[in-house]
Amino acid sequence: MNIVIAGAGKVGFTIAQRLCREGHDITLIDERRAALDNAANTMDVLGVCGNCAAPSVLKEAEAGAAEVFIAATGNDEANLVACQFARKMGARHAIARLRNQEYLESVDSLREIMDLDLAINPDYVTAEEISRVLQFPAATQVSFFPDCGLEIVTFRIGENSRLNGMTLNQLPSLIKPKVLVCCAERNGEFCIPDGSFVLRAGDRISVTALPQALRRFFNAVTANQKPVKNVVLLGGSRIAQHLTPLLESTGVRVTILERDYARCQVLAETLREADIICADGADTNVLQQSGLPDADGFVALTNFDEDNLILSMYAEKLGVERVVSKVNNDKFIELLSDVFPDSTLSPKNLVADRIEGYVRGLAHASDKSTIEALYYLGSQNVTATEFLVGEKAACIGRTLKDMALKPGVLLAAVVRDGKSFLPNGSTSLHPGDRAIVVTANQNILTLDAILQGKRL
Amino acid sequence: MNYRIVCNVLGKVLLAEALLLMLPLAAALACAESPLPFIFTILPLAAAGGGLSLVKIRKPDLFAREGFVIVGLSWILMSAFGALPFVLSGDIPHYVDAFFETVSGFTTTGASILTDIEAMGRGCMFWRLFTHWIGGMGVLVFIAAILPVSGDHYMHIMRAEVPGPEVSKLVPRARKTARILYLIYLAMTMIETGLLACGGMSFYDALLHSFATAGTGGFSTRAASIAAYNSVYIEMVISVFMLLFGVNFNVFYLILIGQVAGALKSEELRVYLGIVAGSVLVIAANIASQVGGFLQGLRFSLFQVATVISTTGFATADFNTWPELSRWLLVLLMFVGSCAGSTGGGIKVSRMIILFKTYLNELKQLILPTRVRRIWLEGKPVGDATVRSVLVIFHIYIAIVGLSVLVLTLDGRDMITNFTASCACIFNVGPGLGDVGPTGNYAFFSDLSKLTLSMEMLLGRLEIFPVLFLFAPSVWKKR
Repeated sequence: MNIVIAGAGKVGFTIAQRLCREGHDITLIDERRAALDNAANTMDVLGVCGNCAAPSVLKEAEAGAAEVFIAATGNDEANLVACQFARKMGARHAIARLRNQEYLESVDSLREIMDLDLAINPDYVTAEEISRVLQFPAATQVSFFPDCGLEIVTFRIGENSRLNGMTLNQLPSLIKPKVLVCCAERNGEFCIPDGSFVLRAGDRISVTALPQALRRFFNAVTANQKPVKNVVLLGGSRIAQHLTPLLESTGVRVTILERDYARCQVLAETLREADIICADGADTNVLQQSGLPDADGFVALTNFDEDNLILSMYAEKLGVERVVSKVNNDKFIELLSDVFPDSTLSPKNLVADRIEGYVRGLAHASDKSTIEALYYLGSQNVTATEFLVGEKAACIGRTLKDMALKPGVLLAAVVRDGKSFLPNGSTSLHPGDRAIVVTANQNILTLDAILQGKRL
Repeated sequence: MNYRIVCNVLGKVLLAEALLLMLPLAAALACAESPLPFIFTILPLAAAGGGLSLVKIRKPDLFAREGFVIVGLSWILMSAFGALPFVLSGDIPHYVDAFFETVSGFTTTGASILTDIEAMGRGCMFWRLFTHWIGGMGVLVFIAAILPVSGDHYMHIMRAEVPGPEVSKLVPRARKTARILYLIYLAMTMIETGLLACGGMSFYDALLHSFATAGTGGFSTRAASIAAYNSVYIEMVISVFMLLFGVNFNVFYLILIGQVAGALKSEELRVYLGIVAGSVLVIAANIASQVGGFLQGLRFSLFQVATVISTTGFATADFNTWPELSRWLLVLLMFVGSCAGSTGGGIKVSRMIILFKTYLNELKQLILPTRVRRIWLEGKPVGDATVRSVLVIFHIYIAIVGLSVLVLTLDGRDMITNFTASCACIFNVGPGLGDVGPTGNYAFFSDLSKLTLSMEMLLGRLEIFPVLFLFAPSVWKKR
């Protein structure tokens, strides 16, 4: 598909990289030539230099012929104007990145008036993800499928965990709530484990289960079962602003450390329940005084990756149970994955996941299957995809036992009429079901492709 | 330096050359000539290419440095292997001569060491002119068009091979861009073949001359070049196509997708056509009395101007005998050359525009030092980095011309011969003035001079850096 992306910043660049890898033809628009040069040197895309909200620039980028137009600049108004122009010129779909709280409050009417297909707020998406991760002890990532209410939780097995040394066949008899281990990472290698797989300390595994069972599973395998009560947020960014009400709604006390006094006042106006402390969080004295040693959650949200990572390590050292840090630069994590805390989130990757899932959905929709959501589990290789089973899907009418799935493909969960269940050998799929498929195979873009001998 | 990826791509280049050699092999068989010279070239090429392309790529990282080295080495290796059929068939027994002739072919220069062109076998003649067609658009662009190469970094290679100050893609994918370029190239070559065949040329001659025009090369199957046909129709067809192949291919793409107005607005195209029109008129007036009338003068001057500015190098008249004004004007046109993104050589019209605008700016700066001005090209401001690279490349061209003449002087020829030979080679034109004029050739030079001129041709075709880089020790250091 032809895809035009306005803005070659962190978010735009990541989206371009992902979609280019999927085989789409990408045109990037940005005002900064250096950003475009950088993009053109690292991926096979075309750059157009100019203001993305100007019709002449959009025309040069042939936005009218685009299947999808994505406005991902840091400026909401420019994104909205660009999307509207692009739609008027003939772009089939438009996606805008919006950060402003006021716009988001009326997002539905905005979508209608502005002809948007999708409005995505990186800060809110990140806040949601953080609030989910904080609910599970030791979780590094929680992938949530809103339409089926299912979650896939990724976590690292600790030294003292009951799971250490267990095979997957033993798992159901030893731990009561039934879960399915979707994928496992050991020393950077990923696999879809079978029954004889032995879990070891240090493995990072992704599990899914029925909504209530998942929490009970975590209570059963971790020593600390207390829900999180006190969370310290470092940095009063927009993410903090979205995250605080989400946490407070589950009964969590939130403390925000913010350096800038004016920003503190803004926060104090909008977040009445939270403790807002105007101080430099990089000062360990300040952290001590604000009660970090007694807190059971710490989230580092400053604009500096280095501060976030190092202060997260400090918090872990103080014994804070659940630590999450926002990191923009993926390379930091790749380079020092043994040293850094496990829970690192990058807003640009979360946004890119959403958009990639949406674009895959557009590109591979048919009466056989439609992609509804997509997540990467842990690395950039293993995906969990939610398919809506279509009328003509090849797997209808066959039980899972007879289906002969491709190696390395797992049917993780099925949702029928709002009820979810973990599949077994006698499970079969019906039209209208939602099926969650976990795989490291990058060519699984339709539901039919999970069957052996079927190509795209 | 990622040696593995360099070896792998070089392997593919050699395989592609082996594949392309099948065509002259077929031509040799069709004309009942011995196919052995080609078979004995294809076999070692395929073996070396196959072996190199088996090298596994561990890391796909390919940066500007690897791009330059791949392009520089590809062209040297291709010429080294491409010279073999001439030696094996005995048409050019001396290897250095054959190497010179092949480099001249691939770089679309058209400077020849052959003294008796018509004696060459038809298979070898096909290969000799076909090298122009391969070199015109570039073999690495060809590989990008036909092979599934990982596209993310291929721009570094395309940028090193495609001439012009700023190489841009036509469509987002490098591979599609390469395909579009080759399709335009192929279509125009076929149209020209058809038109020439209609004008009384045999199909074989028409095809081969179209190869030579398309690549803006200049080899001919006849000793007297295009003058041998003595046909105004053929001269006009070739003149027009020489000029067309000297135009930026982006213009053709824009016309193809219906944006004719946008295509004709191109500043570079207008300046290019302006220079052509001005030079044709001045030279026609200058030579009118010598060739018998202004109309006859127009006929000869149009062809000669087209052949020099597009850096092709065909000839219909011995401009060596023309008045000094015309002779010098043609030498100046060698420097200008064709448009960026075309198959021609020279410094390129767009660089010349940037150079002159920079000169004017500097003058204005002297009058009002605090004034801040940008240089504009095609309605867009040109970045400082581009301006700097244009200045640098211009000066390197001048320096190389000057230094190579120093080597050529050892052969004892006059200064005009040496200077224009050096210019004609680095700007990929072919014929110069003096002893290397349209009726002369390069056979008399010593081996040292021939190798120097071969290097100049490669430097000119690849726009200096890919070749120059091969001599820099820092490039070869392990990273």
